[in-house]
Amino acid sequence: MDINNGRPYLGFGLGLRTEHYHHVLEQKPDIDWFEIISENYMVAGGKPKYFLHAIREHYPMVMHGVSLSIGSSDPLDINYLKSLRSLIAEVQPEWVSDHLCWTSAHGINTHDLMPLPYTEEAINHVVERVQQAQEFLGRPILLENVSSYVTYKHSVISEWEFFNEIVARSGCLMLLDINNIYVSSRNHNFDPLRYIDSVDKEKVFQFHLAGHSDYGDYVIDTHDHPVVESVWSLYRYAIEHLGAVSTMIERDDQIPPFEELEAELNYARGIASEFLPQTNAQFQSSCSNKVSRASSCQS
Amino acid sequence: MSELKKLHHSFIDYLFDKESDISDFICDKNGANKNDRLNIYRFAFKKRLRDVIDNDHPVLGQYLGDELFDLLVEKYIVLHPSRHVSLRHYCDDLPQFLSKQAPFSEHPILAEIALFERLLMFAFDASKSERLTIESLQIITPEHWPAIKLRFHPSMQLLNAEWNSVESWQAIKSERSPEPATQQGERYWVIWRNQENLTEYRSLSFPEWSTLQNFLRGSCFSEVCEPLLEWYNEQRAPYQVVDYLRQWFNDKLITKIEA
Repeated sequence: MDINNGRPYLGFGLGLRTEHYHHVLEQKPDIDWFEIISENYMVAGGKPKYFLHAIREHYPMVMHGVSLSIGSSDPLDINYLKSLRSLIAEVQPEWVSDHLCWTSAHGINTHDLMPLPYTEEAINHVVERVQQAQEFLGRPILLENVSSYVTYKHSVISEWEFFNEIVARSGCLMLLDINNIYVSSRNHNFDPLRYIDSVDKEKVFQFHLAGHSDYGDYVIDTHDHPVVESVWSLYRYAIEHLGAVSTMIERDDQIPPFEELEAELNYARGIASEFLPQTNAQFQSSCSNKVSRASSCQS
Repeated sequence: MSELKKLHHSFIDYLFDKESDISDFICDKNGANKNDRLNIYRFAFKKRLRDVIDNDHPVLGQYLGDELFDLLVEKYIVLHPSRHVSLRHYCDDLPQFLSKQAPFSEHPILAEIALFERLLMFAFDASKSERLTIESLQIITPEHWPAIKLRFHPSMQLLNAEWNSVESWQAIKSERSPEPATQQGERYWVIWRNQENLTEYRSLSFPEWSTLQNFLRGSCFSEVCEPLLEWYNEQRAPYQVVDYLRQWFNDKLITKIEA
């Protein structure tokens, strides 16, 4: 793993999905790393665990959770944290992330990433819980900004101020989802560049890129389409201003053949190479590898 | 109650179509209608849970047809809020729900089909464990045979079906029409995950089922022979258990012999 501006740098990764298990194991595609959804592997055994271990032997991994519910008013779920800690010991990921949101309350799980109000009460609440979770896991976690569709009356600061404050006070790190910034900027009419300009550069360890569904008056984060041009533009801006940040593409629905995601990831590499000499060298090398592979196939 | 807690409760109530003051927490801002925006969450919440029921119980869904499946989804979401972090467990209560809630409870085959589909999932997700081969029996000396006990693969599941539920499941899976629901007397099934990580199942006779159950309860070889005397004579009963053992070794179901 490289270190860039004091941050670990993994390069360009993809979300590991069941549809691609066989392809990844058989073809060993030229992907720098994979992100797994933690909850999918919190099972005793079976196929998911078999493929997880087999693929882990060949690729670095990071773990991404959806159920920490860091903003919930219920107590932190210790059983969940124990399962997470066991999985961390098993996978040995480069880092572990979840979302800056709430997913459960009153003992009921919504299985959705519900937005928090941007208030002092919520900051204090989340900071305390992040610290508890980090202490339990014995490592800092990354939190990801979520897409949102409603604005709470009680919010007194912007989303990025809220995010920065929690990161500064809790010692956690940032997973910036570039698509979510775009989606929320459209839904709440703010300047997405201002969001990127405002975050603490040293705390940003990972970028997510994904597709969404645009309904004109509002945009929904669906993860079922390729990344659109406006999100690529925002990614270009983020790379230019935040430097080399490990980048991955998330696709959760209408999963295409692996090669399509690989091509999309290579597009991200191309954008990053415009600003980062190190990535440019890797990008050129990746392109020439592909050319030489193609030549050897033809001969 | 803190503002945050009130907001959480109101939002949860809204998702479940209960009376809720969540819209009092939301701004009508930048031309966005707050009710339209809130509905994005409720629509996604219900769709996600519906998709889980549909994906985990595809044959049940086909057996029910669209209209009854819609009713099942509507009632199950209200009566069984998800209390697990993983959606894998969301439908764990579905067989019980179907056996208790009208109109589904009037058709007991539905709960059995749902249970069979859940047991297939449990077998799929179970932990792995080394399996013994039949050669393991050769090292057991004759004096130790009466006391041997068995451990089975964690994926092994047993189903006791009164209706033609598994046969109906097989028919729908093979794109054939199932026979009408029939109460056919008790039938016994064993379900497990094989060494290629594929789920398998086969039917059992009552004596084999009973022997398997007795081994699972911790009985030793000599103890499991005794109940078989109801069907076999004293000479045959131990050999019948050995026949079962051979079959279980062939199925790769046994993970440990305790002598």
